[in-house]
Amino acid sequence: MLSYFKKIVRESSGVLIACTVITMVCGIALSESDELLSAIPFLVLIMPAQNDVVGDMCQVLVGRLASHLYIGLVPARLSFTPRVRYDFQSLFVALLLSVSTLLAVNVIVATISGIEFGNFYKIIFVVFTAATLLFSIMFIVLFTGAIYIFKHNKDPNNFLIPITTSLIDTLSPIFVVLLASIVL
Amino acid sequence: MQETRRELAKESYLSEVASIIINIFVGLCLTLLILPRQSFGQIVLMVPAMISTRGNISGSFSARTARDLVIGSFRQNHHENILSTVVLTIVTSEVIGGLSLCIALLLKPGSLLPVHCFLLLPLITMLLTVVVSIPISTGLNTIAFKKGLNPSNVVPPIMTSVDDILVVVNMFIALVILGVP
Repeated sequence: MLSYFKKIVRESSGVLIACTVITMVCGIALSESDELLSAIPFLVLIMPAQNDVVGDMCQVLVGRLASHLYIGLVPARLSFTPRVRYDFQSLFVALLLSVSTLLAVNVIVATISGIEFGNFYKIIFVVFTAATLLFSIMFIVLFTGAIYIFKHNKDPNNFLIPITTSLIDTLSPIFVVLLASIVL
Repeated sequence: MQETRRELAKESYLSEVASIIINIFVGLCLTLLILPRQSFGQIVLMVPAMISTRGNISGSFSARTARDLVIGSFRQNHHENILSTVVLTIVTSEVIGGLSLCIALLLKPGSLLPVHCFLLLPLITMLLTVVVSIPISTGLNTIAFKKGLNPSNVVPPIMTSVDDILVVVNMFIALVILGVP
């Protein structure tokens, strides 16, 4: 009776609660920066799209790393082979293009809706630095993690994709808020 | 290799553009509907957790629905899949509310919202979202499956964006219902 229901609740509740606790850290950082966010609403406007862009690039990276490990294009050791560099460079270019688009569309939306964006050049610096720094750090973490997980005969996709989502959701706004509080 | 690198960057970028536009709408809702509120400092404690957790619950529901359609156990499992999703939503909402209340007590004890707001805001927001999200997700999975597509590849990216928008709009509705300043 209700065995499928019990299985889902038992297997999912722990992970969901853990993810909730992780993302609460981001909530604390945003809550502590409420004055900064109220003064520069453009940061709030840009955050969901920025999370999404960095998160998506990291997920593509994990997917590609896992596939390349399985088919032997990337060896299961910590070395930056041409294939690994190639994936990083391609996705880094895609990230820069996506962040540029994100900024351009956000500026148009902010101008139309009368949202204050403060010192524009400093905002550009904050958004680009946060995105590129986070992607570079995540690349090292995900590359190391994928090799480690693959060596233990497990699928990197199953472990790294949920972790990536929670980490990016938490770290991306924190990076933006930290950099903004230093620069702006 | 040079040409392929360019193609990979181009493909990743193009698939990102639609997602950026949808997420700008989410940011716009947050900026115009949530940011101007007096209690923004306390509400924002719950926002990342609600958006992230909603995506996780909905993503799993969609993945289970897709798998059940593919292996032919959709009719047998669907009601329990819905029930478990609703129960997980309620439990997680209360965890978000309880944790936010504890953190707000520590960080902002002076201007604390009433306790029921912390417990009901995530609950109303996420239940309203689930009520809309489950039929859309089930419908999209069924349509994709009937058209011969793999629902696992098609539905999750759409539902992630749909849920992000639903959470922010429903949070605004919940704030109005609860009369949060």
